[in-house]
Amino acid sequence: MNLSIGQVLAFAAAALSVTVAGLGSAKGVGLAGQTSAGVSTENPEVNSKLMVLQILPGTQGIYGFLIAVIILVNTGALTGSIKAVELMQGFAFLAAVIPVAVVGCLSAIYQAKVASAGMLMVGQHPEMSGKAITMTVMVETYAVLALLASFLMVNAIRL
Amino acid sequence: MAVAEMRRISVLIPRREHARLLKALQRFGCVQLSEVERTETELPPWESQQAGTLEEQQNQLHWAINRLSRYDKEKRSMFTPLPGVEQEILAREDHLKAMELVSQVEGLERQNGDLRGEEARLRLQQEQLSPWLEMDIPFNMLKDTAACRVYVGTAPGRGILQLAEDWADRPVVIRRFGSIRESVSFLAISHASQADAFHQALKEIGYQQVVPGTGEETARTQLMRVNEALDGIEEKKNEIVREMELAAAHLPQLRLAFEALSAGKARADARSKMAHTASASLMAGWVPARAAEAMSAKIREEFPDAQVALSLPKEGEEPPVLLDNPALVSPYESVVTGFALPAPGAVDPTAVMMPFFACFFGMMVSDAGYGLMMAILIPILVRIMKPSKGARKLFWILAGGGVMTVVWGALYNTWFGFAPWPTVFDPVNDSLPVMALCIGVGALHLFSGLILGIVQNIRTGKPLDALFDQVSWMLLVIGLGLLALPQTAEAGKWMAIAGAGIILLTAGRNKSKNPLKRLLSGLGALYGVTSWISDLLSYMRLFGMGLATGVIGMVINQLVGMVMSGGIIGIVIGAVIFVGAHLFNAAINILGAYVHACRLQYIEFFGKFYQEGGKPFTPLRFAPRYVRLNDTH
Repeated sequence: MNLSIGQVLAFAAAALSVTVAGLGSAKGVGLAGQTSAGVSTENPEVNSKLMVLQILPGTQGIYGFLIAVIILVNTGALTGSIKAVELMQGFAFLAAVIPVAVVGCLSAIYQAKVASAGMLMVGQHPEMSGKAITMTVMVETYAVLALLASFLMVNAIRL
Repeated sequence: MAVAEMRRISVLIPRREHARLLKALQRFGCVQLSEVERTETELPPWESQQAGTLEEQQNQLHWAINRLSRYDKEKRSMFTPLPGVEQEILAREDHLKAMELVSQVEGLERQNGDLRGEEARLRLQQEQLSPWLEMDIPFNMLKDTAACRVYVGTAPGRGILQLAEDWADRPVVIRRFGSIRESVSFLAISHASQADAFHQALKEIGYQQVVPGTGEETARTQLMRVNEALDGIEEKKNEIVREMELAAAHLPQLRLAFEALSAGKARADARSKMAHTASASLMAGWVPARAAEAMSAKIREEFPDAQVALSLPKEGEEPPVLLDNPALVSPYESVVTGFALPAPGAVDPTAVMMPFFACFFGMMVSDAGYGLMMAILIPILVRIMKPSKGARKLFWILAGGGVMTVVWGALYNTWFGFAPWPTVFDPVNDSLPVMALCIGVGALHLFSGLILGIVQNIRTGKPLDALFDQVSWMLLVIGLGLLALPQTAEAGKWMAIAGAGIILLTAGRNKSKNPLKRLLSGLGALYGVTSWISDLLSYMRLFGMGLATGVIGMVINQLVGMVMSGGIIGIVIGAVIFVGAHLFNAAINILGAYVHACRLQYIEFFGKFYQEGGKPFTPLRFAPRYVRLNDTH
């Protein structure tokens, strides 16, 4: 199989999108999980409330995966016959994944910090879990915007 | 659809009746007691003491229940409902038997602790004895005699071997126990004449004296004795476990006693809010206006000697807040209370919020298959599990969201990731209309927030504020929107200008008397246009989250398709993956949809009008923890 540079760049874009955003989410969920374990030892009854907070930084990884899949769908990689991708289109794919990869990665970590702080709050005041979740979701907004920007750019590349 | 109106209720009753009154109120469950103004603020000491004893007993019972639950043979799954009981049972005051059981558990627990201490001591002894098992001399015979010196201890293995070799032809006996390792236990006997030289040699190789034991027995017999004792302890521990298991059979009674005690504690707390003289008791409280007349009639009927008075809240008094909505809407009250209760007299947004919440939820989960599962399975689950009131609200919210998910899933044409028929909205290939739709729904949501603000202002007698703060923004935002279409651009221009003008002139009306300063703060308020833009953009998450569900569902199906092409085994594995992966996708998206739907209410919607700050209405009632109250009415 002969691949053009453009096609390889498209693959690299998909790979970066999953990898970078996923790393951020893994780090974020891990961080939040540590806090969750700590708070649960003090106050086991709030554990289920902490679970929601722990999952929240995980969505960025899903967004990264989403963009990767859309790139693979649009390039025809999933159906088995890869379409021709010009060199500049390949670079355009790379540019398009920057928002979801970079913002996804960093926002997952920042979100995990808010989630961790929220968990400490819930440990002391279980009735405030709604507020803790709201605070954490605030950070998510920017990941959603990045996802949308990446999505629009990827979809704008007509092969 | 409102914050329930409250009435003040006060009851004057002969003192001997007051305990019965509290029980009756607890049974009715719709009066919240408030502090009666008293001349002396100190409670009589016996009263706070009683509350303290109740709390202590409650804690003891709670501890015993937790402890015994480990021995409870009757395993309960998360789907088994809590046992249902009648109110009358919770009102009983016979927890003495339960407290006996608690002290029995405490006794067992103490014994258990003692046994553990004893066991640790014996294990240590066992460890000390183990190197000396081969030494068949009783410990008390390891003594110097007139002609011999005895050395018992440990030394490095290599050194002992060397020593035995060096001293082979002198009057010295060395016996090693166990195999040669880093450190070896040994017994050495030397003739008195060689004692000093031998001791010196021992010291050089690193001899450390040890007292392996005392008594007239050998190490082996002693170890046997220790092992027997350990077996005995094991036996006793099993005995304790058996007794704990027997006691655990009484768990249901313990739990009931705990509930009764909690109910008693609630009454004791309520009692301390009343005022008492030698012959009379006075109670004051809040009751929802709707139930007020019926309540006072009931009290009069049960207590002919009581004087009941109802009155409107006094000026400056803040009644507690109870949200009162029809059955269809009331589950969504939990979304509102999750943020904060509205201030007394402010609007209750629940009913307006409900359709938006369900709609947003549906747009974000956006898979009709998942929606169908939720709409069908959740009502069944509620049937089986009989969840508590709070959990039931959440269940109904999810079920309602499920129905809306079917609607949106059908529009997006996604059924478990498949697209069986022509699509109305296609977010992947033709995303702009879907985005516009999301922003449109968002604008509707924000405007209904503004309308609630208008209602609130008019209700509190400030119609001008409604014009200045809400109508002006509606004019401006709609006007700006109309500018986009050439046919309506002219009208839009004038609407926007009118709106902006009102904001510019009036936004600073309460800040300063200086007209210039007012104009400046008007300009600052106009800058709020940017927050409208970010608020509207925030609804793009509806598109993003919906897209995520659909695309991941599609990927799952593609994967399953690949696996399934591999014969019978492939089909089986594929089916397992299909179910598991879709369950995962549904779970993560339902969680996300719930959380983001909440956020859109709290930040974007409530931000436009909400006045929070009410204190919740907490009537004197039964609030059981381990059981479920049977519906009596």
